[in-house]
Formats: sequence, structure tokens, C-alpha cells
Amino acid sequence: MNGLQFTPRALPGAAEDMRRRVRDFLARAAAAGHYRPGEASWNSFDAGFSRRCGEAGLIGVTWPRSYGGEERSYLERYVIMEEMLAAGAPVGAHWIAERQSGPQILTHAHPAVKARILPEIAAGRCFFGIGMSEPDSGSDLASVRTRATQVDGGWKINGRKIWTTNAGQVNYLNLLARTGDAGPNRHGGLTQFIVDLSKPGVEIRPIRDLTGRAEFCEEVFDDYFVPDEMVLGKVGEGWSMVTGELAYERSGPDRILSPFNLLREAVRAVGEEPDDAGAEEIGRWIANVVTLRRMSVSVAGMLADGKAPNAQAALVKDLGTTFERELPEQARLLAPREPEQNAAEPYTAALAQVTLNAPSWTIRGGTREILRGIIARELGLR
Amino acid sequence: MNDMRDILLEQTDRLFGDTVDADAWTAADSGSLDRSLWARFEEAGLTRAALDEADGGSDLGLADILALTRLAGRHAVPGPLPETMLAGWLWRRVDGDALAGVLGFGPVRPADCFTLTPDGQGWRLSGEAARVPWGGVADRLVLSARTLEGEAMLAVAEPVETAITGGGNLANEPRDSLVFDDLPLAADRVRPWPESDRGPTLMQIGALMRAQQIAGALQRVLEMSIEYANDRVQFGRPIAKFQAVQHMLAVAAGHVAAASMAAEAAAARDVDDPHFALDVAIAKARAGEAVRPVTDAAHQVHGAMGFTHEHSLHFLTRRLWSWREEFGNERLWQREIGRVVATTGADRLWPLLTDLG
Ligand SMILES: Cc1cc2nc3c(=O)[nH]c(=O)nc-3n(C[C@H](O)[C@H](O)[C@H](O)COP(=O)(O)OP(=O)(O)OC[C@H]3O[C@@H](n4cnc5c(N)ncnc54)[C@H](O)[C@@H]3O)c2cc1C
Repeated sequence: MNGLQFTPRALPGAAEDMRRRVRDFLARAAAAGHYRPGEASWNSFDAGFSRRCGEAGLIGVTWPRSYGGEERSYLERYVIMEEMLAAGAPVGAHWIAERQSGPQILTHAHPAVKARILPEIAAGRCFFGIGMSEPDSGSDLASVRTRATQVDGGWKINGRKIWTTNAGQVNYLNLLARTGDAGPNRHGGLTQFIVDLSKPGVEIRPIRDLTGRAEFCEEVFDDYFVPDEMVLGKVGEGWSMVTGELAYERSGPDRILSPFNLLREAVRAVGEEPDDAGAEEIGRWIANVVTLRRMSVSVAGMLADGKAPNAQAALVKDLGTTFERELPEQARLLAPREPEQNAAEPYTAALAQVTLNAPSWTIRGGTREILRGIIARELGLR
Repeated sequence: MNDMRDILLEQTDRLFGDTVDADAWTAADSGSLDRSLWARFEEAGLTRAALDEADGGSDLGLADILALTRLAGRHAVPGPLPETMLAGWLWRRVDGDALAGVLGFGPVRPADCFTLTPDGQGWRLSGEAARVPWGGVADRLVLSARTLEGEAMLAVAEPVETAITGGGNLANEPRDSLVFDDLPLAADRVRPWPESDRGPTLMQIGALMRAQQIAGALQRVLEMSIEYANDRVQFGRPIAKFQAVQHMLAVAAGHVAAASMAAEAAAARDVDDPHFALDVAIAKARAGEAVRPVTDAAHQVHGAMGFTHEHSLHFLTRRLWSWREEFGNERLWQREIGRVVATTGADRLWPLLTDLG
């Protein structure tokens, strides 16, 4: 039971300094026309904006200076993420590299690879995708069939990956492949590779999603060669790597603030003098958002302390994404509009954008059902 | 300081664990105060938690009292122990003398109000308040009131029998209506209350108290449900092994954690902090919102057994279904939050949220 406690955590002064720095950056970027505030989120791809974030030193701030970081705390990084999301800034291009791939490379990659790739990520010039899911392996990730076989100087990869966000636009994937026997617990024989998508042997096919965009892709690997240097961590230990860092992926502000544009515009639509029902609905949202944010910051604090709060992170993601999915359903009844993508009125456009994207939030990064299984295990039910 | 608090909480948890059992809950269902149980709390110094050490008190601040309140919720402690601790704290805040005995405070509804008129050296108190917790049982009540000029005051009154109409909540905890008509009060029974726009008001203190009790009780209800799910065997295995049951309780755990975080954050806030009012509103709104999903899952998991009087689950759930209504339900506090946010405006929403922390 102790596993699901959340201790309130105040953000340190350094994090509030960082908040001022990010707000200043965002204000100047908006004034210069580098982005349109309140329109985008982390599902966007604007390489130019990411480069500006990199130049401002806002990517990979927790990493060592030698790799382009600023050796700042995880809580300072948290503030960067949430400020970007709240501003509706187009941070999608570097989001995954910064959140997941970079940290994995920092911990597990060959020194020469770290020195080559990390400063480029931090500069906002190098982007990543995650090659885990396959046509027949979604929630049951351990069943992946993409195979890597050892050859002279490296590995040959054969197989298919699917739903890979931004695969058509990024430089690299962190790819999970089978290199040996699964063993009795099914988690053995998996290895992660850094895959350079500019090299031959991989075919990328964008997949249109229900919003009309083609953000995720399918990739076919046909005798694709990866040099030994690009193996991430030890061969056969891929499973603990992909599961070990889930707390970073699952507990962040992107599990609460994805529909922040809609929340803000719904407050505007209801006006300064709402009726009782309007005030109550908004009050309920805010009570939930404030509380979720506190839980998310609490997990960030545990991460900063070097803990591995995997169950708490799963809980924050389940509760957070449940809220994210409810919000458009309640907003549409509170301030009725017929949602339309790219409508001139921001509320109408946000309602459309959030209604269409909401289903993905309780799927990607671990489905709601898988998260509840993790929570149940922590509760001692499994 | 924190070590001291931990020791105090541990000792109190043990005391509640030893003294509050199904028999105590069943006895409390009569609506009367269990004097022998109360004597144990007095002995442990809990009833005088807020008082000065010189007055035989423990000199605890609001945050510590609220931590004890949460424990009282967790154990569904019979009797007005949180009310007594907090009434003592309220009266001490205005430099009143040490209040002894069983205490209550009110009014508990925004519409209810007492009026004070000067009478020689002293005062006279008039007005009505509905459903004051333990209003007819308490030896003394700390009441918020206004002078004819509108000045906020606190008054201490000893309820006379004629002034009381008894009632009870779903757990049969006394919720009594009071009518005072020119009740004479000595000068030292009335003091100015340092109330600003932001509070604290008695409503806020009461809401904070109930939010903490709800958070404590929800945690207990979740633990009881997990234990029951692991013990109860159907289809040849513990029902905990069924995914439907696991997921029900996983969702409940999310609400328990959220209620707890919301209550805790408000309890940690200084009453003079500009964000106190908003955090109290968030605490009562969010904790109240958690009651339905958690009690729903708990009763579902417990099956028919949880619907019996013999099983203890209802001693907690009946209190939860009452506490969420008292000192303002979710709607009332959500409205407060919504109005603050609406006047703050959409473009200042994010700065408001980050200032709140
Ligand atoms: C927008 C988007 C972006 C994505 N980006 C990436 C990416 O960049 N890289 C990547 O690798 N993947 C990505 N994914 C894939 C994502 O990780 C998978 O969709 C997810 O893991 C679920 O797998 P699935 O879709 O195959 O669903 P399935 O696993 O087939 O699940 C279907 C349904 O069955 C339920 N289910 C499955 N197993 C169980 C069980 N044991 N108990 C109860 N219910 C169960 C699920 O919860 C779900 O409701 C993305 C997905 C989306 C929607």
C-alpha cells in the first residue's frame, strides 16, 4: 500500500527561476512570430521551433554540460515542459528525444555515440522516435518479433515496427528487437538499438490518423545494418531498459496538460460572470487539474531523489488521461459549439482538436487497462 | 518538529486502533457520546490539543491538528474530537481562554448567521443555525457571529436545552439545529475575529476538517476492500484475481490518492496565505468528488456482506456520504473555485495555477 503515497512537493526556487526564463523565451518567440501561442501541443512537428528551444538551452537541461546539458534538476526540467505545454508551443519534434531517447542514450550508449548524438539533441537539431510496437505486439510488448542477428561488426535487423510517432521526420529510432531466447519470464533476449533512418534497409510508410494527419508510421526493416557501437546497453537487457524508465514517460505534465488549450478557451467561452452551472464545471476541472499537477510534481520529486515510482507514475497517467478525455465531453455541453478543425474561433478549434486526439491519450504510452494492472499489482491484488 | 509529529501521529493511530472497534461504532449509532471513550482521548491530551501548555494543552498548530483529524477520519472515531480540537484552536486564535470539555463550532451553512447586540458590559446572541455537528451534545460551542455594524466576531455559548432541535446524519452523528433568542453572554465570551476577504471563515475550517476526515476514511475503505478481495474466494480463487475487480480498485486508488493530495495541500497552507481559500475549496471539492467512486467500488467488491450491519464497512461509508455534504458539498466549493477562475480570466489562468503550486 505504501507504494501509492504521494507527498506534496514544493518546486524549488531554481525551478521558479527557470519558469521566468521559459516564459521570457516564449514571449519573445511569440512576438517574433516563431509560433502562434495556444495552438499546438506535444503532438506537432516544428523543427525550426525545436532548434530555437535548443539555442535557448531548454532541451536536455538535466544532462551533463559535456553533452550539451546544464546539469539542472529534474524539477527544473519539469517546469520547462509544463510551461511549453501551457503556452501551446509546438514542441513535438524534440519531445520524445528529450523525454525518453536522450536519457536512455545517456545511461546506456557507447561513449562515442553519446558524444555525437546528445549535444545534437540538446541543440534541437536531432530528433528521435520510439520503435517498440509492432503489428502483432502492442500491450504485449515482450512478444516483439523484429529480429536482430549478429553479423561482422554489427547486427542485421529484419521485421516491422508500427505506430512509430514522427518516424517519417526524425533522424533516429530507439528500436527494440529480439536477439535471443525469451526465457521463462518472456523478458529475456531483447535488445535496444539506435537506428539511423537515413541509412539503407528501412522503408517508412506514414499512416494517416483519424485527425487527418500522418504523424505515426510503419517501418519495414530488410537486412538493415546496425554497427555494434549503436547497441544500446547490454545485449539481452532491453526489457529492463524499456520498462525501467516508464516513470519518466508516464508521470509528466503531458499527461494532464495535453488539452490545456481547450481548458483555457473554455474558461474564456464561459466568460467572467458564469452562471452557477458554468462556475461549478470550471471549478471541478480546476480542482482536478491542480491536484493532478501536484501529484505529477510529487512524482517528479521522487525521480529527482533517484527513486523509481513506477506505480505512482502509472496512477498519474491513468487519472490524468481520464481527465483529459472527459474534458472535451464536458466542455461541449457547457459551452456548446459544433467543433471544427482550424476554425477561426480558438475555442471551436480547440474543441475539435481535443475531441479528435483524446482517444489516443489513453492508448499510447501504455493503455489504461495496462496501467490499472500495474496499479493493482502495487495494491497487492495480483 | 516533524519527528515530533510522526511520534504523535503514531501514538494516536495506536490509541484509535486500540479503542475504536466495531463495538464503539455500534454504540455510537445511538447518537450519544461514548463518555468512556472520550475519557481515553482526554487522558491522551487529544481534546486539549490546541491549548497552551500552561493550560494543560499540547500547543499544536493547525497543521498538526489537521493531521490528527485525518487519523480520526481513518478510524471513523466516534464523537466530536476533530470539532473539539478545532474549536479550541479557533478560540485560542482570538486569545480566548482555554476551553475545556466537549466542543463544537458553527454555523455550518453559508445562509446561517448569528447576531450580537451589546448589553451592558456583555452581549446578547440571537439567530439560528441548522445541523451544527454535536450542537446539542457539546458543553460549549464556538460560534461565528456579527455585530449590528457587521463586524465579524467569535462567541462562546453553552447551548441550553430549549434552543436545540436534534437531528443526525447518515451515521447518526448528532447534527442539531440551534435557535438563540437574546442569549446573554459575558464580555469575555465574545471576541473580534480577524477575518479578511480570503478567510479563514468557520466554513473553511470546517471544510478543511471534513476534507481531511474524508481522505483518511477513503484510504481505510480502500484497504478494507483490498483485504476483502484477497480473502473472498469465488470460482476457486480470490476475487482479487479477477481483472474487473483489480481495475475497480485501481480506479478507486486513484481517487483516494487525489483526495489525499488535495486535502494535504490545503492542510499545509497557512491560514493567512492568499491561496488558503482556493486550496480549501479545492480540497473539499476534490475529496468530496472521490467519495462516490471509492464507496461505489468498495461496496461492489464487498458484495452482500458489505451491505450488512454486521460488517464494518458501512461505519465508514455512511460517514463519507454525510461528510461530503457537510460544510458545503462539492458543488458549493466548485462554484467558489469557478468564480475565482472566471474573474481571473482565461489569459491569467496558467499563472494562477502555477502560483498556487
Ligand atoms: C497516437 C499514437 C502514437 C503512438 N506512438 C508510438 C510510438 O511512437 N512508438 C511505439 O512503439 N508505439 C507507439 N504507439 C503504440 C502504442 O504504444 C500502442 O498502441 C499501445 O501499446 C497499445 O497497443 P495496441 O494498440 O496494439 O493495442 P492492444 O494491445 O491490441 O490493446 C487493445 C485493447 O485491448 C486491451 N488489452 C490488451 N491487453 C490487455 C490485458 N492484458 N488486459 C486487459 N486489456 C488488455 C488494451 O488495453 C486495449 O484497450 C502509439 C499509439 C498511438 C495511438
